[in-house]
Amino acid sequence: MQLAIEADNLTKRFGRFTAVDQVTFDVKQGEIFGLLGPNGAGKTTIIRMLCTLLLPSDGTARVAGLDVVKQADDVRRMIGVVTEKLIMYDRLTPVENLKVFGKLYNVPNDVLKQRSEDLLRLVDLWEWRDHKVGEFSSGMRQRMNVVRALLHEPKILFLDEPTIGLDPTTAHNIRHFVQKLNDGGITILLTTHYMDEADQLSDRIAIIDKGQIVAVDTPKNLKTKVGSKATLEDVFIKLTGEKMRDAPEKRRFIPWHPHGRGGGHF
Amino acid sequence: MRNPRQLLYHALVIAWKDLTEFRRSRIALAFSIIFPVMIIAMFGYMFPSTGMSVNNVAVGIVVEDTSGQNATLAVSMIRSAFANSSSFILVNVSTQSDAKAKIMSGEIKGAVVIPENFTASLLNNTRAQIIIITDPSNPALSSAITQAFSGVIGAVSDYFASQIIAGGIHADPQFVLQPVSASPITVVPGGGSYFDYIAPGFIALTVMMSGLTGLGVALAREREIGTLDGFLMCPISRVSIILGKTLSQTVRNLIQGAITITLAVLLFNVHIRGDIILIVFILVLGTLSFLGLGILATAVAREQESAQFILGLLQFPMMFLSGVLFPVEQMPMPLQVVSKFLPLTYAVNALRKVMILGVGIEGIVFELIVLVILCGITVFAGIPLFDRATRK
Repeated sequence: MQLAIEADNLTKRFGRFTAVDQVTFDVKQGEIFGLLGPNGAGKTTIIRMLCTLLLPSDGTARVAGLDVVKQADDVRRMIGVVTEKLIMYDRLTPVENLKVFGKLYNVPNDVLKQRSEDLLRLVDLWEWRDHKVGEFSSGMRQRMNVVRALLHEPKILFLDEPTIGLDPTTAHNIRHFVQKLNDGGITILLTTHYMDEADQLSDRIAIIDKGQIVAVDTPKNLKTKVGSKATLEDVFIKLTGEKMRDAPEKRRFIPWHPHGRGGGHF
Repeated sequence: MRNPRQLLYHALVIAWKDLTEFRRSRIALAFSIIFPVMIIAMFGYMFPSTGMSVNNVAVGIVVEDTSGQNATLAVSMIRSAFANSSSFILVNVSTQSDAKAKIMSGEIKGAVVIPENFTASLLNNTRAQIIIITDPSNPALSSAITQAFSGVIGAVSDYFASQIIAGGIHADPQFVLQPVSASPITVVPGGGSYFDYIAPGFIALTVMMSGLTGLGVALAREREIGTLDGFLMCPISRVSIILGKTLSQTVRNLIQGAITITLAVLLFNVHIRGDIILIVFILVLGTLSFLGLGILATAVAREQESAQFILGLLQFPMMFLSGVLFPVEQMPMPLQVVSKFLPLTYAVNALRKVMILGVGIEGIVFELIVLVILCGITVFAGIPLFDRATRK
């Protein structure tokens, strides 16, 4: 099977801090691949490198067979990205928002018009087409965020915590929509903190901790390795530890802490 | 290499997005109108402070009278009065029209002319005149030149008066009391007010500072809230992003410039002698020369707040050191040197020459070249820095 994403020893350093440390994995075409990890594990940094938003410090990555550094523009045409932060302009209507991004992807005007309508209808936002996005609820905004990423018909979709902060019904609808997109042939790389979501959607899961991949397998195999009645949450805790993490993406290096072991990252 | 048409098309899409957002933000719209109104109203009612010292101001000396000793004597008295002065540097100029041309180009700030009939007038027992030519685009400096040289001409007059009395010459008592008088004129008709002087400065300041902070803060804001990622993930050039933001900012700045100029003309009788197209051209070029600085600040600062802080640091020295409020010549020498590195200095000079003196494009070539060079340096350094900063 052809590979949609290949990461080979992918590394990202911010000064003295290594956020992603020689990560190697691949995502097959048509797969939903879950990337799980505690806060600050390096999930978003990996996605940003694969989406050409960050230059890797070391290693290589190919998306849709294209090098993310040398063929960045071609990669951008092939991918859609739903980031944690919503990419849309509050003072514009949904149609205007889509018009801006559609034109930047060189989608022809007539196609853009039709596709905007189809996508907005698909996520039940067509009735709201003349309202400014600033008036939308968080669920509507997240639906818009997904629609924006699909406008140029990408082959690979990156979803960075797409259901964070949403009510159960909206989250359910988004998950359903993601599954539908995958059924249509789109490869999806998903990060999430919701274990049920990862379990339900992902064909395979990689668990990342402290910038390194600690396990990659199907949800079923991962659970079996821990115990017969184990949940994905059990797997996650077993592999990443019970200690709470509250680290942002760019962690500070603390050389010494009076109550700690002296040295480490927060 | 990207297709330039595509590059411009993407820039226009981004500019359209920015301007639509701007149009729909009532607060941004209101403040962009209130800001120039407030600035122009505030300074329109201000008057110049009295008393002023200047440094290294070049003043021309024209001796048209070559017929007698009296002219030579007057010139040597004027020269010796300023021999040890750091305020004025006296420069020989051949003719009165040459002096006027040099004032228009900014080479000298004023001139003193000993007219052809100077000696003849004194010999005929009629009052002789020494002409002081000043630049109305700079009333504060004009006033300083007129004041200083009138004082010296008064001393010249006193000397000739003492000679007349000692020689027992019978003449009109008024002539005996003041045989020589100062005759101040300006290089173009009509005197300038202080507001005439500062109006071009404030127009340049309002427009270009908005460009500097507007672009920097807009980019930093999009970066902070995450929407910049949306552009960065599109298959478009970073140049399109910068160019698009620049276009929208330039349109906004020109609206502000138009408000400021209209108010200056209607409320405070500022006279515009030059070509309005040339004024717009200077404002656009000035805005562009500031954009690189805005881009550089954004490349360095990750958050909007930091960008604002850096831009503030650039803004304040420029406001005071670029000759917006008072002549550069009034500042100590080290600060005069600093002013030569600030784009606002050249934009203000060019605008002042066009608005007040009615100078054409040929008279501001130097300023335009400097603005183009500054624009090129900062933009060419800024775009790769911005690119690196957004991907590092």
